[in-house]
Amino acid sequence: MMVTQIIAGLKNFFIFNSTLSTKEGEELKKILYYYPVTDNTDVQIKNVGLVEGIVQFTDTFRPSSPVSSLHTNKTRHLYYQPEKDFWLVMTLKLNRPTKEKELSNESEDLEDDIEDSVYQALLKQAYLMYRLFWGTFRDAKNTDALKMTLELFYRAYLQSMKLANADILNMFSGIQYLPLDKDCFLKVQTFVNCLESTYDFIIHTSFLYNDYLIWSGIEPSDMQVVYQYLIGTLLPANVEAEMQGGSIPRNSPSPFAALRHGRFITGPSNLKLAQTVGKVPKVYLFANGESQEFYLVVYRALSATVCLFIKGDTELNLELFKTLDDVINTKLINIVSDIADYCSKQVITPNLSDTASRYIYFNNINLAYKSTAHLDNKQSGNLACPKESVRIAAEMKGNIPFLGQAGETIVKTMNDCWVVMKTSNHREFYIALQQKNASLIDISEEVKKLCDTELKGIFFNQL
Amino acid sequence: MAQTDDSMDDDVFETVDDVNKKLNISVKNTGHPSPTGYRNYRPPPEVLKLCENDVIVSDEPVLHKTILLGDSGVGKTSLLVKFDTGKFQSGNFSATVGIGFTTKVVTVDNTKVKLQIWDTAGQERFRSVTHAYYRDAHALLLLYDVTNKISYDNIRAWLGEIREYAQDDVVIMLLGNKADCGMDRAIRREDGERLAREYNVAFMETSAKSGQNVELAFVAVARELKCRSTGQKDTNTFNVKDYIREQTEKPQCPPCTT
Amino acid sequence: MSTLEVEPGAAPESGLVTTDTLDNFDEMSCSLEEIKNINPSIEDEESNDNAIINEHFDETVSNDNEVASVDDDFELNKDWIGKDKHVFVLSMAGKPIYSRYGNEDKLAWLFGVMQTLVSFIQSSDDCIQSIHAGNTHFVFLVKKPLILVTVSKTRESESQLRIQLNYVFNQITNILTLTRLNKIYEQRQNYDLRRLLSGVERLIDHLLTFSENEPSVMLGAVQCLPLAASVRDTISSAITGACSKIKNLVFAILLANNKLITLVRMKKYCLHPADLHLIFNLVQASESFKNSESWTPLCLPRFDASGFLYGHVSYLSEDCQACLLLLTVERDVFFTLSEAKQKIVEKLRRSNCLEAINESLSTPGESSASAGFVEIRHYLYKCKSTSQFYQPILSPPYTQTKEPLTRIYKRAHHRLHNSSRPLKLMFERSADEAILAWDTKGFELFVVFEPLIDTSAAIMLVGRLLNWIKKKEERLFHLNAPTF
Repeated sequence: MMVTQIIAGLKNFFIFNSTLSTKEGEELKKILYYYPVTDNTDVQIKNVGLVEGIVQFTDTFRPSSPVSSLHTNKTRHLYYQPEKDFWLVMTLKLNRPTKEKELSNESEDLEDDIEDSVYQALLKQAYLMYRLFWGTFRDAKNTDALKMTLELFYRAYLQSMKLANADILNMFSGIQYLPLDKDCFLKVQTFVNCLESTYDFIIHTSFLYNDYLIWSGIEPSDMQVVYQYLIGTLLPANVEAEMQGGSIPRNSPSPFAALRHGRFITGPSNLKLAQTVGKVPKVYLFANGESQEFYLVVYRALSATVCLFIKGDTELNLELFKTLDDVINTKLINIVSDIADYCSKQVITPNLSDTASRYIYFNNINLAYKSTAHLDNKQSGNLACPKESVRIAAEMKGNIPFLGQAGETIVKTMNDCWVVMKTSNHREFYIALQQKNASLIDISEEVKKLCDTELKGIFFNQL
Repeated sequence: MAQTDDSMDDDVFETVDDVNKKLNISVKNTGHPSPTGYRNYRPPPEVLKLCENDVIVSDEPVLHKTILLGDSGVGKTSLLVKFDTGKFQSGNFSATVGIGFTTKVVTVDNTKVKLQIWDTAGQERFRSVTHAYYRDAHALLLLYDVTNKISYDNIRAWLGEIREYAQDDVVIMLLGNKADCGMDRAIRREDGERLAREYNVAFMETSAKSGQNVELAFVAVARELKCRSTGQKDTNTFNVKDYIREQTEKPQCPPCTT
Repeated sequence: MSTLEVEPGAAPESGLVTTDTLDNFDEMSCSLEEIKNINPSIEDEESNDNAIINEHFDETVSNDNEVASVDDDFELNKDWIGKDKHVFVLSMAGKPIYSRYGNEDKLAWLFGVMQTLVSFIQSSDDCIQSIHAGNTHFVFLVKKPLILVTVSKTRESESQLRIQLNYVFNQITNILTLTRLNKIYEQRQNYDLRRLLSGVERLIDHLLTFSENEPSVMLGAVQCLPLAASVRDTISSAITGACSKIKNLVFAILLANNKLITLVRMKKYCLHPADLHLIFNLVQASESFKNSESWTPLCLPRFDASGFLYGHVSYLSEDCQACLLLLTVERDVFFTLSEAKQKIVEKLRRSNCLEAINESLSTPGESSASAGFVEIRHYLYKCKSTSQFYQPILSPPYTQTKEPLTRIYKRAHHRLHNSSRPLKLMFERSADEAILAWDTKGFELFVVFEPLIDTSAAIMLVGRLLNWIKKKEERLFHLNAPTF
């Protein structure tokens, strides 16, 4: 008997701080953000009370880390305390196949089909994304200001959360890198160095080609959030705009020429027409232990994206953007065509047959990931292997701490799919194979071959 | 005089033997070393019977049913084990489950009395099972723990149950167990005596640990039952209470201090 | 992989209910009414069952609790917090019934919190399942009229913990019957159940240790004492011979050292391994059975949770420490069963079966290395159709402490039987060892290897191992399902 739980949606999402009010009758003051507004204040207060109770109850037993989830028959609650006393809570509605049995108050023996860690990652991401744009909760000017920014941010953010397709990739929250040859890479690096040395207000720079990161001057832990923002929100929105022709000047003699010219996608998008610098987001980076404020200026030409982290106290004006455009554009166009040339040589027609093995790779040091199991980078749920295999991979990830320095797991599912996980040297490698009649021995051979071709030298320990 | 517990034990053992000599009764000691080398090996009953017949010339032993009653933890099983094997099961060993069944043959004035002893679990949940056995009982040993006031207070309730379920002429003996307790004592001997007088039952304090009055309690019951079964009851030649009064050990003055 | 036609340990008929991966704890295999209807001579026990609330006796629960000294405050002390696994039982009204560690009365506040959590979730027509905080898992089992909670740092999975809670619930049912338990709370919501459960704490304590350390609970199976098939048959027929004429005898169980020697049953009726585990636990935890022949009511919740069976419990003899249980539906047949027991023992003595049992008990058993499997450190083999399992004795590196081994098995078992994503096979290699877990229609196998073994060697060894078990199956398993 398989019990499949499906997420039916977000039941609620709220942020509170118990220390904001200790008076009875003023519990509402603890709540900083609450979704949905349709929950009346009594419900809100009750839900916060439940979390407070659970936090206190669990703390009694001194767990290794604070409470992270509560499972009930119909819901899954996820808790995250990113800053002392501030709790983010997310409740998911579960859709279980309704049983004929009367609604018994009896617990059934059911297993978590939903990996907590996947949704825990989602909740953490929701915090980090807020922090990227607004800084920590604690640094907010005052409670009212905090409430306002939270409202502003999460109203939009919750709409874009892709609950249903969340999977192991959310646990990684990783970055896809583009491996280049030395020549190309040096060109990118020279370009970046030139920019940073010419303009001292540019503190860091990141360079992407399509969805792939080539160079990043900020720490991986910061880059991972910026990357999610770029890939998940900013770039898709602009690519869409480009497709619709919105950014192509109508009076341009050749649309192609226009495309060959880059543009700012934060800041003034059309320098010729712009009256002001437009919207330039401020971001906060934390890698060095304290928060640092930057303007995030993103410039895009062809398939390349350049992110400039500009000192937060810089005065931004149109003149500055025009200068930057001049410097960046020509150089960038050249580099991009080199990269495109290189990539076109590298293209190996992917093996799209159903029986081919798919893999997901993740490096815990630089947060790099690569997946041939996912057909795109958009959490669309488009997979090149059974969903079950990806879920098993997430479960395997949860088991890694028990394996010690290095380990491997090979499993065969009830549907005769094979999933393999290897870990060593902070790298994780997951392989899904659809060879129904293979034996354990065949599979280990296959995996060995795959490791040799795809991951030469990564697994130092001979497994 | 400073004595350890162990030496106290020895003293009391002597006392028990002394008492037995005085009483001219012999208690079958079943603690033979086992021929097979197994702990506590007990030869099959037929073998035992042969041995008995060698020693005592008598008829089939008279069978008497005795039940041990009282709150859980007062030491019913310890008392029985001490009587049966001469050993004290120390510590908080496991509670009786349901009813335990032991037979023990004692000899009273050259007559064998076979005591069929039912050791009951004190817990309330077993009561419906144990009630069924009250009816057939000839004697009841009702125990409380002299260190535990609740077990003493519950004696009245126990006597109520006995009245309800047991035969009217059942021999009842009230025992205040754990008399070796020293400072932990919560119930004075006089309180036990008073309660026994009130209900007109025999009384003594016992200790399964030291052995104090353990033999006596069972032997007195056996003697009373023997007298009754041989029809001597009416002639009043034996009165259990008087008998006990004569024979009871006074632990306050062990032989070594006199 | 294997050339075996029938998995080792399988038999056409089994005295034990077949167990598979997912166990529904509420199913019962039989109804006592059925047996009683065949022999209507049995009086209705309910008449005597009204001793539930006996006002004569002092309300105070048990004597061992009343002298809790002032300074041993369990609440929040370091030792208490550091325990690997807490288990709490409370009533729906929040009354403490059992705490594995500490004094329930002093933990009353905690019981209150747990009750509040349960009823809070219930108020929205839902039911709490579990809470997770780092290494600590809080698992709730709301099973009317009780609430059972465990707080565990043992790394066991949620479903494994829930099974343990179900066992605790069954242990309580075993003592009281479900019917009586329900009746008690119908009569008085606020009843202090500890009155009726004094002494049961010890059984629950023991059961928890048993379910943590022994693979039997996890596997839902029992291990048999290795005996030549002829000896086991002789024992079974000695029992049938002495008992065949006794009406209403449902089961005769002979066990020693946590292993089953034989199980003889009334036609048509089978025993569930979970019930047998409760019996094992009762015997193991009750030293008092060694003092004398005993007679006790007991409820086998998977057999019929509504009523009692009555058990004649005794050790075969001073020189053979195997425990015989004769279970009947009649409440008044102690002497009949006592006689039967004497007959059984005499027969066993005459046919040298006592010696055979003793010999098996005193032989340490085989390690997998001594059976010729050097690369195999340990294994568990369960035959599903007969609900029996076999394991070799421990060998290094697990002789010092069994804990890592238990942990590996539990993890592998969980992965294999995860209810939403069960697996057919798992091979896992860590720095310390490799394990192969394999679930087939007929059997389950868990084999722990040296860490560097390659998969082809592992597969080869597993094939050889299965053949070895097959060859020994008559000795290692109870293949008959004798009836009276």
